Amino acid sequence: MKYLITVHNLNNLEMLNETDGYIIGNSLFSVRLTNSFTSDEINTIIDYAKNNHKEVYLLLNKMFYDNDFPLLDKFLNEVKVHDLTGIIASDLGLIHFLFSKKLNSKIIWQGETLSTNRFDFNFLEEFKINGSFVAKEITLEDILDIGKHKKYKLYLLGHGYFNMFYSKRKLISNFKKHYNLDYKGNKFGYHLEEQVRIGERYPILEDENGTHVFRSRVTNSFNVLNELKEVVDYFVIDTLFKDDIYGKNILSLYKNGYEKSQVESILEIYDEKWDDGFYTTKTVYLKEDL
Amino acid sequence: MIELLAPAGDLEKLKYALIYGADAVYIGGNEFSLRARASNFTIETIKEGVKFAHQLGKKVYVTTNIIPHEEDILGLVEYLKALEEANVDAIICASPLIIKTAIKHTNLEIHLSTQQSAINNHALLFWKDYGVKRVVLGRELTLDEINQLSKDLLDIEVFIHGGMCMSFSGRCSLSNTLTNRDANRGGCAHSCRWQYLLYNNCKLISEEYFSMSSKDLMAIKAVPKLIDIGVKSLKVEGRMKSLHYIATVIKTYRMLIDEYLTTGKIKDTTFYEDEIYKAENRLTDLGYFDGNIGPDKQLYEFLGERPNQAFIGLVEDYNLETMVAKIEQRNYFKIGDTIEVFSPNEPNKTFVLDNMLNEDLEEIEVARHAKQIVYIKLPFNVSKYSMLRKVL
Repeated sequence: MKYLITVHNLNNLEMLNETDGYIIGNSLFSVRLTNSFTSDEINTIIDYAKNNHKEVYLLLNKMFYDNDFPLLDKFLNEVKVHDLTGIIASDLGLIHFLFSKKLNSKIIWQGETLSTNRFDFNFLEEFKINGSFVAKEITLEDILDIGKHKKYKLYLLGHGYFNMFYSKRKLISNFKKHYNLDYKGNKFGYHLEEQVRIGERYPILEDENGTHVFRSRVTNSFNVLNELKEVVDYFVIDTLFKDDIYGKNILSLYKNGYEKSQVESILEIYDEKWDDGFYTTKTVYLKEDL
Repeated sequence: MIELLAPAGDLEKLKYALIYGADAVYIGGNEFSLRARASNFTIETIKEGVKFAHQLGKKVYVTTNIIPHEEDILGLVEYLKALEEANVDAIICASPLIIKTAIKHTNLEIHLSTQQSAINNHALLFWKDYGVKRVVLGRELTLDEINQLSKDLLDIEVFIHGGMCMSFSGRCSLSNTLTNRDANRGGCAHSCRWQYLLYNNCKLISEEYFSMSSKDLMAIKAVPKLIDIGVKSLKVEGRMKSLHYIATVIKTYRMLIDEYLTTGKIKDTTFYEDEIYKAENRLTDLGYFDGNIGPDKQLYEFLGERPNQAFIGLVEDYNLETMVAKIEQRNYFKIGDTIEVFSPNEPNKTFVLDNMLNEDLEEIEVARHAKQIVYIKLPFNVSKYSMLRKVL
C-alpha cells in the first residue's frame, strides 16, 4: 500500500519525503484544497517528484460546467500532464473530456459517495482508467469486499476531515450578507455547531467553487490498517485545515507504527478528535416507514 | 411535445396527478427507491397505476435510484423484470449497476436520476454511450447553461418545482454522519435544514442560526424559456407532498404550459403564482435558473412549514339531478365559510356554504372529523376528483 498526501507549501516537499506521492490542485478546477498551485508551481512539484521518485496526482474534484472545459484544456496544456501519475476526477463529464484527451490511464474516479458496491467501483474498467476511490461512508467490510473484486487500483481516503456536503452556493458569504455581518474571519477557521450536538464542531469551508461541510472528527485508520493493506493500493492523507508538519507526523505514524504519545501530542496541538469514520458504523437502508 | 411530469407517492396521488394534467408520473416501488417513506407502490399497485395511466395515453416512470451497497442487490434482476412485465414506461436510475442490470436483463427505457448531478455536455455524452435515454439534469444550472446543452444527444428533463437539495445531489452524506441514515438509500434526514450556529476560530460570530436550507423552486417565469430551449420534460418534485399540493401545482403548470403553447406568451404570471400559493407552504424562488446564488435564495428566519388549512375536502361523487356532492373531509370547515371548488379542467368557482348533511343525512353545522363524509348541495355542477378549499 502506497501513501499519498496533500501539500500546503511548495517548499515542504522534502519534509514530506516519507510519502509515495503528492496530491495537488488549482482552485479553478479543484475544491477543498490545502493550497492552490499555479501551473508553474505544479510543474515544479512534478519535476521535484520525478527527481525524487515520487508520484504526483492532480486533483480535479469540482463539478464541471461546459464553460470550464476550455479553461481546463488550456491549463492541461500548461502543466506537464504526461509526467503526472494520475488525475483525480469527481465528475463523469470531466472523465469523458479526459477520454477525449487520451488520458484514460491517468484517471482516478473519485465519486465521493457513489462507489459503494463492487460494480459501481469497477464500472469504468472498460475505459482502462487507473483506478477508483471507494465511497467515504461505507464499512470496512464493504471496502474489503470491493477490494477483493477490484479490477483496477483501489484508492482510499484514509485520514483527515471527510467532506459530507458540497454546495455550489457561497453559504458563509450569504449568511454574512443576509445579517449585515462585517466579519472577516480566517477562511479555514469556520465551524458549525448543531443545536443538540453541543461540542461537536463541523468544519465549514467556502472556496471559489462553493461551500463544504465536514465531519466533526478526523477519520483515522490505525485500528484497521492491517486489513486495509490487503486491498488498498493507495491510502490518502488529507491535511486540509492542518499544515505540512501535521502531514509529516501523520505519515510517520502510518508508515512507522502507531505511537500513543505522539498521537496524544497531535490531538492536543491541533485541538482535534479522532474516530473510525464509517469503518464499523453501518448506515441504514430505509425500505419502510420510520 | 413538452412533458409535464408529476410525483406520486401513492395510487390516489397518481390518479389525481394525471387527471389534473400531468403527462406522466414518477413513482417509487418498495425496493431500490429513494424517498422510502413515499414509496409504497407494490408491483400490483404499479400495474394498476400503469393501466390507469395508459388508458389516458399517459406514462409511468419508476424510480430505482438508490446507490446500493453489495448487500442491497439481492432481487434486483427479478424486480426489474417485474417492472418490465408491469409495462412501466421507464425507470429512473442513479447507479451504473442498476442501469447495466436493466440493460442486460430487460428492455426498459432508462432515465438517469438527478442524483448523478449531470450538468455538462460531456456528462450527457458519457451517459448516452452508457445506454441512457434521458437525463434528469442537476439543479445547479442556469437557463443559459441548459441552453448550451445539446438536446440532440438525449432527452433532457429539468426540475421546475419543489424542494431543493442544498448540496449537489447524490454527493451529500450529512444524514449518514449525523443520523446513520443513508441519504443515497432513501434515508435522508434533511440535516441541512437543522439549526446550526457559525463560529470562526471558536468564536460565535452571530446569534442567528446559520442557513443551509434553500427556498423551494418555482419556475413559472422560466417555463417558456425551457420550452423554447427544447427541454423534453418539466418535472415537479414531491413524492411525499399532499394530494392537494400535487393537484394544485400540476393544474397550474398545465394551464401555464398550455397558454404558452397556444398563444406563444404568458399574459399574467402572477395568476399562476397565486394559484401555486394556495397549496405551497414554503417560500419559493427561481433556484439556479437566473444565475443568482445569493442570500435571497435561502431560508433564514423562516425554517418551519406553515400549516395550510385551505384544503378542506374531496368530491367523491356528484349527483347531476340533485346537484348534491358527496365530500370527504380533509380539514375543518363550517357553515358560512366561503369555499372554492377546484376541478381538473374547469375554472375555479366559489360559493358560501349554507347547507351540509352528515352520512346519516342529518343537518350539521361543522365538518370536524378527518375523512368524515358529508353531503352538500352546490349552486353549480362539479365532477369527481374536484377539491374544495376554504377561502382564507
